[in-house]
Amino acid sequence: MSTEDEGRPPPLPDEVRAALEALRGEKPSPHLRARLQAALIRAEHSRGREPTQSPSPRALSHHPAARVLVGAALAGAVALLLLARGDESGPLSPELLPAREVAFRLPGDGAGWLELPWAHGVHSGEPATVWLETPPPLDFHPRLRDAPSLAKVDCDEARCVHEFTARTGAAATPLRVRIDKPGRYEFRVSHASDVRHVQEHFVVVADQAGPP
Amino acid sequence: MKQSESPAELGARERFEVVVEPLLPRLHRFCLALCRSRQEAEDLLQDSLVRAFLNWDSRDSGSWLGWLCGIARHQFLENRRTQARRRSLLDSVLEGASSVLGSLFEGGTEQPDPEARLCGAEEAELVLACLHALPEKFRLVVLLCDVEDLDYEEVARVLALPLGTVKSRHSRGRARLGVLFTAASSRQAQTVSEGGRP
Repeated sequence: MSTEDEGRPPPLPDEVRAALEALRGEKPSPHLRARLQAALIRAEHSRGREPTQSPSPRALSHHPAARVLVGAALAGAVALLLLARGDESGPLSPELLPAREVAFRLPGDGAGWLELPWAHGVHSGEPATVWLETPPPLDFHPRLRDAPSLAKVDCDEARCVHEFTARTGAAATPLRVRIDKPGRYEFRVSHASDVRHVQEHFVVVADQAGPP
Repeated sequence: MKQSESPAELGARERFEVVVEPLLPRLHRFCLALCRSRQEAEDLLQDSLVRAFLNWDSRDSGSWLGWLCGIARHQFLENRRTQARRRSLLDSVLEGASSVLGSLFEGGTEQPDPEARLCGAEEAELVLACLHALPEKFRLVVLLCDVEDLDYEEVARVLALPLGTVKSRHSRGRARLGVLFTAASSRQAQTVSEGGRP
């Protein structure tokens, strides 16, 4: 740096300026955004296990209304993200679909499998990375051949997050959850492909079949 | 379902996401400029964001972007040091030799990987390849000044450099980038006119 020039920088040729402008259009893909969000969720959970002064997830999760509040906060965050994105948003930005209520009748012998009606059709048959949040009393058991890359991301008292690659389109991977008690359960599904990134929220109301 | 809470009512992660989300494209480009492949850049972006989230409380009063870029750069250097420790001397020699030979065959400019070629606009890919051909000390200054539009003071803070050094590197980096880009564009045009692929 012995010949450092303190003057103004040389002007950029027009073609270089145009190319740098094009570089400004480079954005993280929906898949990457979803991956980043999952990493932050994992980091939050790992930090949440350290002692803090805030109320513990355990205490919150034992309150009947807590899951609804947590769900509302998450939904609000997603909505804020969508609003805050402004000019950065493009056709591939995450989309929040309206919450859907799903009624489920448990079979007479107790537990039953519910297939979540996730909007896999948006991906035009492209494989999608799926993040499924379930309340921990419920297990999520896709058959291995349906979701060979299934990996539980993290689990605490308030929820479990599962990550896997799913097929979409006509041979879409079914998202089946096992429910063994009547009640109200909330599931959040975030799925991203090279085509779209969609976030869905299902509220499942399960009741028991009456005696025959 | 409630659709919006004020940021104060959100959890720590949600508040962090609200702040960071608009900056993601810029931070992503910063990582792309640092790394030689998209995969490496994506890993770096993820590691940097997690580190930023976990150390959010210790952030100083500077801009968010500057703080995040600083974390990404530290993470990048840390990754490089870790890789260097793992790599044997022989590996280094072999890699160096293949890199030099590769550059000679490609006319001195590193070519983006096939995925990168498909993903971005040709122009952006070309200028990114030219940025990668610049020494890092020029590359980051040019990126931050000419792509991200940061002022010299901010760039000096992000890169922990004196203001004069930033100005100097900007001048020299710009000049080198102009030469590299012109040469690469000519090569590309020539290849196309000869009927080959760029």
